[in-house]
Amino acid sequence: MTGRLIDVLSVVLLLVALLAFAGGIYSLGVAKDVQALYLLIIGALALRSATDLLRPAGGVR
Amino acid sequence: MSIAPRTELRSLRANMLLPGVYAWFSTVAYPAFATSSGLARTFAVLSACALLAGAWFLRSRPVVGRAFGVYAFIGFALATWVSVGSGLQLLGASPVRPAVGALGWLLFAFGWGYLRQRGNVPEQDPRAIPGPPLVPRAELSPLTSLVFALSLLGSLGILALAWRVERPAQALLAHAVAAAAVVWLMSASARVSTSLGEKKTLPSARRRFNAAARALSGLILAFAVGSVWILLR
Repeated sequence: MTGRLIDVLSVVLLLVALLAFAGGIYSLGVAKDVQALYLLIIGALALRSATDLLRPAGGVR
Repeated sequence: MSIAPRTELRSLRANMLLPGVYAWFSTVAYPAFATSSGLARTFAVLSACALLAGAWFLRSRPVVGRAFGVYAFIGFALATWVSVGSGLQLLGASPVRPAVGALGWLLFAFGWGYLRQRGNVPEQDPRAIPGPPLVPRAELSPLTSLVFALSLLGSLGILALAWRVERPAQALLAHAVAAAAVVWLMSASARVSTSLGEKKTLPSARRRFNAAARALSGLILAFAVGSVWILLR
C-alpha cells in the first residue's frame, strides 16, 4: 500500500516538474525572470525527487 | 550495407543526399555566396564535396562514407558559418528561412539513420542465435501509457512555449533550457511510467523515501521560500 502511495507521489512530482518547467519558460516570455528562475529550480528539484524515489536497491546507501 | 542491392543502394543514397543538399542550399550556400568572403565559399564547396563523397563511399567503405557525409559535411558547414561572420544575419532576415533550414537539418539527421527494412525478420539473420522466445518478466501498468503520453504532450508544450520568448538573449536561454528540460523529463517519465506497479526490483517504501529525502527537502524548502516571497509581495 505504501509502495503504491510512493508510486503516486513520483507521478505527481513528475507532473509538478512538467508544470514548473512550462511555467518557467512562460515566465521568461513575459519578462518575469526571477519567477522563471524560481520555477525552473522547482522543476529540477521535483524531477530529481521523482527519479530518486525509483532508485534501485543497489543504489541506496 | 555492403550486400545491399542496387535499387536499395540508390534509395539509401537518395535518403542521405537529398536532405543534405536541401540543408546545404538553405543554410550553407545562401550566406556563403551572398557575401564576398572567399574563405566561406571555399568551405561551402568543400562541405558539398564531403556530402557527395559520403554518398559515394557509402557502399564500398561505410565508415569512410559516414566520416565524409556526416562529420566532414557538418564540420565544413560550421567552418563556413564562422568565416561568414556577420553575414550569417542574412539567415535570420525572415522567420521562414531559419525554419526551412532547421527542417532540412532534421531531415538530414533522419536520412543518415537506419530503420529495419519492411519484411525483414531479425531472427532470420544468419548471425542470429536460435533459442526459445523470451517472455516478458512483468506486464506494464495500464497507467504507463497515460503518464508517458501526458509527459510527451507537456514536453511538446514546453518546446512551443520557448518560441514565445521575444527578447533575443532570453529566447536563446529559453530554447536551451526547454531542450534540456524536455530530454530530462522524457527520460524521467519513461522510468516513472514503466516502474508503476513494479514490485520485485524496487526496494522497500521506506528506503525509496529515504533515497529521495534530500531532493524532497530541497523542494519543500523551495516551496516555503516561494510562499514567503508571495506573502511579502
